Amino acid sequence: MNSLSDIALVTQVVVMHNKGAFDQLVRKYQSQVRRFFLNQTCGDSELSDDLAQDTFIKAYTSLNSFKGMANFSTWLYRIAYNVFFDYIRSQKTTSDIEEVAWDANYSNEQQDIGQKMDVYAALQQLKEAERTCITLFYMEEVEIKKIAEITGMAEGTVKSHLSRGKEKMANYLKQNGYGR
Amino acid sequence: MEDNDRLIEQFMKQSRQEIADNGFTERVMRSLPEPKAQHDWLPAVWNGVMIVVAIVLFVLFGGVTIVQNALYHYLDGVLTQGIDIRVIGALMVAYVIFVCHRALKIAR
Repeated sequence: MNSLSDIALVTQVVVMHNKGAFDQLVRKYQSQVRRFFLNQTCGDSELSDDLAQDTFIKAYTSLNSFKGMANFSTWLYRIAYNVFFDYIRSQKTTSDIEEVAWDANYSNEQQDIGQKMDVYAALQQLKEAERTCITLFYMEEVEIKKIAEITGMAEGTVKSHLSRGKEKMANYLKQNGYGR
Repeated sequence: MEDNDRLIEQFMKQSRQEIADNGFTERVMRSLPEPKAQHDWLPAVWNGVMIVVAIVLFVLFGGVTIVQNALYHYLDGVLTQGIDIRVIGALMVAYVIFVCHRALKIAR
């Protein structure tokens, strides 16, 4: 739901250049955006915070393109998704590898013990697109239609990624003692 | 298939964590770019153009003559009939309100 307060805050930033209003938006959505990146990077908290910061800066500079038709959080997720895939592309061109392998040891700064560690290990079994669809759908409870909007994929493609990701993840979880 | 769905749903929901701000917002706010300077002069130019247009239209449609006539009639009335005491009273009330307003603004 696009709350009226979000639109009011966006209006204050765009029309009156009120940075305080943007501060409130960052405070409100920082957890959601940082969690999105933590899941995409399989727990790399330092990288996640850098990408989340880029996302908010991009959101700030292009806030006048937010027309209020889409949910503010969907709009923000779309920017986050683009920031992440720009990063992936830049890594691929520099290291010339097919998949960016996340360094599991690097992620230890978060309190990723027990289940938190398991979730990142489980997400590591998935391809990037599958990971995005699975985390948005199951963790953030975003509808398939909205995931398609965020990623620019067709709804059918999102469903395929969800199905493949679900199978891989379920197998991994069962092998590691979950669901018994 | 439904079992898989339930398993993942439950696992993901349990793994969902709220991340404490811990100075993140402040870091973002410090890194925000300043509004581009090129946008600053646009409203000023627009205001200037509109003021010139307003003055030109005012002169073209005889605004100067209308103001002159109004002033002439007012002064003529004052000179022939004297100033109405109610006008002085209204001006004093307006002045007091103006002074109070300024004082409040300065106090804030």
